[in-house]
Formats: sequence, C-alpha cells, structure tokens
Amino acid sequence: MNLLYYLVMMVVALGLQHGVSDLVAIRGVSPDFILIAVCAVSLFAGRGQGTLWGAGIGFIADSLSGSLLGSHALALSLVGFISGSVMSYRSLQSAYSLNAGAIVGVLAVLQNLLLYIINIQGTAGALQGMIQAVLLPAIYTLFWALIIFAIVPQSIWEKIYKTEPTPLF
Amino acid sequence: MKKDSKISSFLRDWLILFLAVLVSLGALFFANDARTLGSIHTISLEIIGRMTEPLANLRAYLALETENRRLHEINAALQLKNAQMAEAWYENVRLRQLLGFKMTAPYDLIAATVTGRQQQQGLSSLILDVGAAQGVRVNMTVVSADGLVGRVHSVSASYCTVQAFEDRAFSCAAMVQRSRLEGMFKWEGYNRGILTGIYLSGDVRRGDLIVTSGTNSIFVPGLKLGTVSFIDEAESGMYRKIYVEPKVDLALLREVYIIRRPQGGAPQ
Repeated sequence: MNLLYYLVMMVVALGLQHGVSDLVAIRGVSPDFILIAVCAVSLFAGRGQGTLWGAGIGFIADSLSGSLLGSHALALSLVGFISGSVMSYRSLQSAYSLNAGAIVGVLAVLQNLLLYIINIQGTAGALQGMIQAVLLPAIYTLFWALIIFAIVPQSIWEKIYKTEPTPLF
Repeated sequence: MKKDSKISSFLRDWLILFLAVLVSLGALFFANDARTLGSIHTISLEIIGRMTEPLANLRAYLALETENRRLHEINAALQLKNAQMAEAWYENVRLRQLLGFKMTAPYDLIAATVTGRQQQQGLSSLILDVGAAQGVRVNMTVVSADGLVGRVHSVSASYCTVQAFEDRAFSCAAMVQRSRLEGMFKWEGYNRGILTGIYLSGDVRRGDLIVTSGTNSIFVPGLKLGTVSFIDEAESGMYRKIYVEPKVDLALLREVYIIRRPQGGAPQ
C-alpha cells in the first residue's frame, strides 16, 4: 500500500523541517523539506493525490509555523498539482534528476512568493525581504532536492513506484 | 473506454485542486480567529512536539561536551560579574531606601527546553516542551540568559510554539538603553534587526545596547535585544536606519524561560 510510503515521507519531512532544518541553515536560510516531499509524492501518485497531500501537510505546517492558517495549504496544494502535472516518475531517474531539481526550485519560488504575499508583505525592506524569504530559500531547497533525489537509491524509488496504487475514491 | 477514463481522471484532478484551493482560502478568510486556531494548534502541536522531542534529546546529548566547556567559561565570567553585582546591589538597596522607591519584584519564570525550530520564508518559530499544564499562556514573553527570544504564539497541553524575534512579522517597542530613545524593533534578515523611528538628531552610537521599552503590553521592559552594529546616515527622510546585531543566537538556543508574571503581581 503506497499510501503508507507517502505518509512516511510526510512524517520524515515534518521531522526534518522542525528538527534538522535549522542545523543546515545558512545565515537564516533553510531548505523546505516539506515542499520536496510534496513534489516527490506528486511524482508517484499523480497531481490529484499530490494536491490532497499538499493541502493536508500544508494545514499542519500552518498550525506549527505561526503563519496564517490556510497559507501553506494553498501554496502546497498548488505545488502538488503543478509538480504532478509537469513531472512523472521518470523525472527521478538519474538522467532526469537535474530537471526534477530545477522544477522543485521553480515551485519553491512560487510557494515562497505566495507565502510572502500572504504572511509578511508590508514589513520593512520589501526587496531585501523578497530575496531573503523567497529567492534564497528556493535556491537552497533546489540544492537539497538535488541531493535527496541523487542519494536515495533508485531501488527505493522503484519500490515505491511499483507498489500497487491506492485508489483515490 | 480508455478515453472516458482519461477525461474523468482529468476532471477529478481539477476538481480536487478546486476544492483544495477553496478550503485553503476559506481557512485563510474565516478560520484565523483565536478559537478555531486554538483547537487546531493544540492537536498538531501535541503530535509534532512528541515527534521532535527525541530529536532534540539526541542533539542535546551530542552537544554536551561543547556545552559543558562553554558553561565553564561562562561560569568563570559570571563569578567575577557576580562579585561586582553584589556590590552594586547593596549600593542600589541603600540608594532606593534613601529615595523611598519600591523594590521591583523579580519575575516568576517557567523553564523550558527547545524541542523544535522552524525557519522558512521569513517566518521563525520554536517549539518548547511546556504548555498550558505548566501555566503557559499565549503572548507570554520568552527569554534566554542573553535576552529576548520572542512571544508565545500558541499553546497545547504540554507544548507551545514561540514566534521568535527573527520572524519578519515580529516587532516590539524598543529603546536605546543609554539615551532612552524609543523606537520599534523589527527583524530584517541577514542576521540583523532594525530599529526604526529614531530621529536623525537622536543620540545613538555604535555599540549601544537596545532593550525592550515595555511600552507595548506584551514585553516587559529592559530585556536585551542586541547592540547597534551600524547606523545608516545616508538614509533620507526624518529617521535614522539603525541596524541591530542580536544578542541571542537562536541556532544555539537550548534552554529558555517564559515570564509568567512578576512574583506577587498580576498575571501577565
């Protein structure tokens, strides 16, 4: 049952985001493991389930980060839908992982921009804020996505992919 | 048949997206009141708090040697400082008696351990291992030995989240300790905060200590925020742009304290 794999991915992503991300932060810029997990789930499960997982994990992220409830849910459901639309499981095969990383980077910019507009617009230093809160985290997330896509053995991706899909409805 | 299934799958995906966006927007517009948030925060905080606690314990164990060495150094420095402060204390008591001032009550503190941190998209928050059961309430001030850490944002039975001073949505009334000039402290990113609202003629120097002024209702006065690292004189307009280097390093933070109330005073 691949639902279990996705659940594990999300729980690991939440644990990494709240327990480890600050350890790898560079000058306050940390990677977004939750976004990477939503993108990965969308690759396997398609954009429908990707959207649902994005919305679900987004609500949990909202309630933990102090942001407005619904902001992460909105951004991550869009991320799940778009990543499931433009990428497939083939994106994770080594020859294409650079493309997958690049798409994660673009989606990270989209997500961060949306969150910036909803949560922290109007604060001092708007341009610097955009760089600090939107661009730099997206670039760093792209970097981590490439590392994760590269270090997780192809056999594990294969195993998740070949598991019988769970019907959505 | 295959074509029909493709069309239905296409429509289903768009319907899911539409519903997800609708629910998210609904939450954004209608579910951000304190009561709704309270119950959602309580459930998710309990879950994530239990998840991150073992990780925090492991990190604490790995950092024990470094922390021990650092504490020895701090201990030596504090012993020296303590001797100086004891002198100052007796002098202060004598002068207060002379002036007839009431002694300021010390604060009632709740000790807590940081079990999780999150820093993304300009938002910065901490998860602490204390909650409503220990008397923690929303908006209580969180401090460390080095100064202000933030304010309690949400509380569950055994955990709470803290909006840290490095959150771009965070601001507090602050003042220059030496000249008593008041302004507003905000986080700017790049490891520095900014003090706004100080006139060009204001007496501020590099190295001045910035503390909370206590003029807003959340933070008690006198908590250290940081030191002035740079003053932008070229800024046009009526105000100076004063950059503040924070005193507290959130990445190294393990133990914090929540100010419950002044001892013998009203709850915060």
